[in-house]
Parts: sequence; C-alpha cells; structure tokens
Amino acid sequence: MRVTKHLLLGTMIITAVMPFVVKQAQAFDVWSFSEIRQSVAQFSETEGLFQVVSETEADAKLAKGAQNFIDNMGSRALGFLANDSLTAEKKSSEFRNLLEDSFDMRTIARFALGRYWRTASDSQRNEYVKLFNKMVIEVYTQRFDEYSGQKFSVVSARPEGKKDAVVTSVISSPSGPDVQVDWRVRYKNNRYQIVDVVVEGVSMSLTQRSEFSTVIQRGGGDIEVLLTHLKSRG
Amino acid sequence: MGQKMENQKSKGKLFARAKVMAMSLALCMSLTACSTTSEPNYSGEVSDPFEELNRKTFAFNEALDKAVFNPVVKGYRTVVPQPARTGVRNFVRNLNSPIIVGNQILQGDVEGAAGGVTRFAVNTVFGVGGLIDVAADAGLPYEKEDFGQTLAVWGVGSGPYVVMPIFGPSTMRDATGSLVDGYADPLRIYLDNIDEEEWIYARAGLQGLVAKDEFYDVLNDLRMNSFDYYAAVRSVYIQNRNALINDQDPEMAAGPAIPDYDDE
Repeated sequence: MRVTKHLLLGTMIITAVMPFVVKQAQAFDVWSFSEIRQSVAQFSETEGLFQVVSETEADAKLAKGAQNFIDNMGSRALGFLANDSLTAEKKSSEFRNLLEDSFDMRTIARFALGRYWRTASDSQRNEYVKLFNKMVIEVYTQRFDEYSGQKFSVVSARPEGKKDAVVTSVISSPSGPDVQVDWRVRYKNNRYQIVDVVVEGVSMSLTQRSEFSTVIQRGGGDIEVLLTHLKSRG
Repeated sequence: MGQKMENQKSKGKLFARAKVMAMSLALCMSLTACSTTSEPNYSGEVSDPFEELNRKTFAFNEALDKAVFNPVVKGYRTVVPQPARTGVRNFVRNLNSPIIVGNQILQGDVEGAAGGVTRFAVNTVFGVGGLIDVAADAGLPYEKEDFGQTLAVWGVGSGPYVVMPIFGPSTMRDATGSLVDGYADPLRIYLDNIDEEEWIYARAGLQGLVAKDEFYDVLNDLRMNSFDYYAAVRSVYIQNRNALINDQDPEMAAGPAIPDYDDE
C-alpha cells in the first residue's frame, strides 16, 4: 500500500516536471547545433585553408570508396547467405572467397603477433600466417553459419589516418539489440581491403594481439607455443 | 517517542552512508593516484599484477556460471520471449537513470544529463514505467554511465585489472566506482528509507540477469574461439570500458592504428 502511494506520488511529480525538462532539452539542442554550425562555417570561410580543403576532398573520396566497398561486400554476403537454393558447401566456399578478397590477412596476422613478429624466423612467420588465415576463415564461417535473418546497413564513413577509412555499419537482428560494427578499410595497390573489425568499440585485431602475447608470454616467450595452439584448433 | 527513535535511526544511517562514501572515495584516490599516467588508451593493455589470483577467481566465476547462471539464463530465454526480455532490460535501465544522470552531471556533460532526464521522464510516463524505450525511438538512445567512467573523465587511471568474485572483470577504478554508485543511488536510498530492502535485492537480481542475458552469446563466441579465454576477456573488457569512457568522441571508436608494414 505504501509502495503504491509513493509510486503514484513519483509519477505525479515526474508528469508535472516533464514539460519543463523537454522544453529545456529542446532549447539546449537548438542552441548547441546552431552555435556549432556557425563556428564551423566561420572557420571554413577564413582564408588560408585551400590546402586543407584539397586534402579533405581526397579523404572524402577515399571514405566514399571505402563505404561502397563495405556496402558491396555486405550485399554479396547476404546474397548467398539468404539464398536457400545454395547448398551449405557452396555457401561456405563462396564465403571463403569473399573473406580472402576482402581482408588484408597478412597485415592483420602480423599486427596480431605484435612484437613477436620480429623475433620469429622466416619459416615460423610463413607457418603462422598460413595458420592464422585458416583460423580466421573458420571462425568467421562458423559465425556466419549462425545467420538468421540479420540485416546489414552501412551508416557512414570517415577518413582515418593517411590511408585508412573507418566505415560504420549496423547489424540488426530480429531477436536482439543492434550491434555497431566499424570496418577499418585501407586503400592500397588500387584496391580496398579490411585491416580491422571493431565491434561495439572492441577491436578484433587488438583482442587477438593481446591474447596471443599472453599465450606466448605464459609459454616462456616461445612463439612455437602459439603455433602449437593454432595447429591443434578444430 | 517512536517517531524520535525513527529519526535518530535514519540520521545514523545517513551518517554511516556518508562515512562509507568518504572512505571509498579516499580508497579509490589512494589506489589509483599512482596509476594516473598509465591510462591504457588504445593499446588494449592493462597492468595485471594480480594475474594468478585473478585467474583463480575467473575460474571460480566460470564454474559458477556453468552451474548456476547459465542454466538460469537459458531458462529465462525459454520462458520469456525476446520482446518481453527487451522490456525487462529497458525497465532495469530506466531504474538506473538517476545514477546515469548524476554521473553525466559530474562529468560536465550537461547535454547528456538533459537527455538522461528527458529519457527518464518520457520512458516512465509514455513507456509504461520504463518497459518501452520510447525515447530511443525519438532519437535519445540509452547511454551507460557510471562513477568509474566519471573518475576516468576526471583523469583517474584505471589501476590494475581485477576479477571480482561473482561480478567478474573490473579494474581498481571501476570497482570503486560501482561501490560509490551503489551507495549514492537515490532509488536504493529511498527503498532503504521506506524499509523495503527486499526490493533492493530483487532489483539487483534482475540487473544481474539482464547483464548475463546480454553478454551470453558474445562470451560463448569468445570462449569457443580463443586459446586463452582469460586474456581475451581481459582485453575485451578494457577496450569496451575505453569505448564507454570516450562516448562523446566517436572519432576515438576506430580501434588502434594498424601500421602499413610494406612501408618499412
């Protein structure tokens, strides 16, 4: 009984206060938006920014290209994932091709090994890259096997660093919250390739690197320990 | 007479609460003061001097998950369909609004705080007591804020990584933060004052269930695809916290810079 009374009272107070709060929030929004726009406009109109403008144009072009690249990759993936007439095998091999085309595996593998790349011998490096490649393909194939009607939409893209663009996308599933996925795309040798996937702020490459270095450290600093783990997968 | 005693009791409670808050603040300052410069930033690394103990606690938590929490989550998912589970999640988040707004104010995020208050009002009234997130559809999405993040905004470093029994991954700073959030939560104080302690526990249980449900699939995937699950979870936790701390700066949500090795 007492609880009901308090709840009622609380609701009444909130109802009374709400119009004021909404008004305040709106007023604040309008203020900050127009203020920021104005100052940005003023800044870009000032002289001496021509060089920056041309650089920005190139960056914008890169971002746009990267965005198209991710968009195409998404529709290609959904094209065969949602196609029920394809066999599971066919889907798998299509998906493998897509991954090999889209990901810069060598860069990702090398980043994931971190400082241990320098101390590894050539044969260790080659074996590691081969095993890493195999692992990534297996992991992603298995993830996409769980495909159940999720929707993929590219939201925006922005230049990042000298050669990269970060493309933001959202994967929305009928049975759960939306997930934000950012793709770090690099333009090199006249093609776009993915160098990192960031899910809700968590970089896959960084997670891998952190885990690999822990595995090697705890194995006494020997890269062979990691290779053994990679070989025993699956 | 009875009234007077009641008054004295609540005064005593208030005083005890203030003392605990002051103590935990002092604790956090002393523990993290020395680590201010070692903010992990985007390396995804964190100092883990208690790794052996942490691994043991981690294994204990894993066993507990396997024996108790995972079956509970599975049962919850079987019995309660997704739309209703989203409703429960929204409800729990809405109850957290006072903490979120309080921290947004402490972080100097006036716009965020205004949004938080609006969210609370709109969702409580039009969202049937918070079950429906009407405000998110209107362009005011949920933002997770806590005192650990506030401390980070104030420049306090994360301190060492710690795995708490039952509660899981944290850092010295974030654990202190949750302690402060727990004590300063107006809803908890209110329920305590009207002697409805059982609602405090019910709410905590619901919060735990929602969190377990939310991370269930992600953690399963990570467990299956890692050689050292402990190290993987540690990295994911730290990166996720950094992303939350930098919520006002989408430019930071790009992960680490990946070098171009052909340039060497």
